[in-house]
Amino acid sequence: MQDKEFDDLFNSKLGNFEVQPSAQVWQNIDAELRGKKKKSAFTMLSIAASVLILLTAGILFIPKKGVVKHNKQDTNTVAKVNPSVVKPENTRPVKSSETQQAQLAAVETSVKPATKANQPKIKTNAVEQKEQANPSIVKTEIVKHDNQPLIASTETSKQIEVAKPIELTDATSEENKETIDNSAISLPAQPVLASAQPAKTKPVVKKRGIRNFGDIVNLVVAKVDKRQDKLIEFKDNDDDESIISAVHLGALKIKRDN
Amino acid sequence: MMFLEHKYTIEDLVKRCKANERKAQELLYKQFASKMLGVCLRYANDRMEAEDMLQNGFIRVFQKIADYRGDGSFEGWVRRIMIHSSIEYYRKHHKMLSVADLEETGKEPSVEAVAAARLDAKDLMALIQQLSPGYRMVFNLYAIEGYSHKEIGEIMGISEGASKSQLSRARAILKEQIIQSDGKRYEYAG
Repeated sequence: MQDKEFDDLFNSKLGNFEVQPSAQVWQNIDAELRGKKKKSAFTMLSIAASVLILLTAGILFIPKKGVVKHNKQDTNTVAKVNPSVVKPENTRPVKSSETQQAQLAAVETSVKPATKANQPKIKTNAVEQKEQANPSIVKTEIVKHDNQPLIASTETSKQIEVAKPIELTDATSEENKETIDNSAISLPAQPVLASAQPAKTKPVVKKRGIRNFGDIVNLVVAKVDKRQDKLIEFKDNDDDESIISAVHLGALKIKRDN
Repeated sequence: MMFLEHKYTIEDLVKRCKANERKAQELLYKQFASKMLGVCLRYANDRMEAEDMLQNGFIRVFQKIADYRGDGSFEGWVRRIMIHSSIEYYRKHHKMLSVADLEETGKEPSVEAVAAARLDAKDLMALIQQLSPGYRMVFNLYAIEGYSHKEIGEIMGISEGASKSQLSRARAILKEQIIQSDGKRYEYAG
């Protein structure tokens, strides 16, 4: 019997050999395919969930930033105004006492809540100092000084203003001191300053808040979960890695103290 | 054919399987399961192994069905997947597929065609299943599937020469077995 013949024998008898498999085989295949599908549906769900979380985080986060920015801008613009108002004082130590008289006048008008009649005077002073932008700025300043509610709305600016004159006191002459003291007194009342404090510090805290994953989770959870004990809390360990510090699931409460 | 009764063409079923339709998958499985178990049995030690191979093969068929472009018969495509699934199974479970090269190629026993013809499919299947996996794979691929030694070498990761020598060794073992069983048959008859 030749090899070819031999092979053909097997081929003809076994080539179309059929045996009905047990029912278990299809069940296993079905389960496997179903499992795969479940898995893929699960992955789709988890992807959707993470997108949702990111979006939520984004929506909660971005407007916050916008507000912070606005605050900053307010303080910035006002801060810009202030130096120009205070400028005469600033430059005073540099400039000799010859020009002191003129400048004193400027300070007096700018600091003392002045009447509108004073303004032309300021203008001339300002021109002398080549500060063309000053008059209008000073004007608004003065108006603000007269108007308490307005001052309240621009609290932060006042703080800077108050701080600067005080810094200057040592460097300036007795006369200047007096006027500056006056200005300090004539400036907004203490309560307003106090109220300005949180507004100024708050954005700073926010700014350094988000440094890692844990901070983001904390932020999102804080938005969603208003309870004292949040659903989950992260905190930074010594290596600046965020670790879960607390979990609160109804009856289950775990908190790490260190 | 069950197929015609259901008024489905294979083409339809394939299309629906590509859309991941569960019912079509089941129909397609039922269409080819028996035939493919017949293929897997030739590569397996026993029926249990063969059903494992069949299961893996069909999962692969459904996972890769989008790759079937319609060139060549679908049955041929499924069959190739079954063969690969069977070989893969042995790679995983038996680790060593190739058998060490033969030291001596003894004279092949001569088998009378009449004696061989007396054996039915079940007997032949039993003979193939007795072969060690490496011989069994090569014999199946060459004698029944009609692959060349080059192709077998590629599929099994062995040289063309190794494929040739394993084939002749497999034949020798099978012939030996047939002669033995034929002799027994004679004894019983006499």
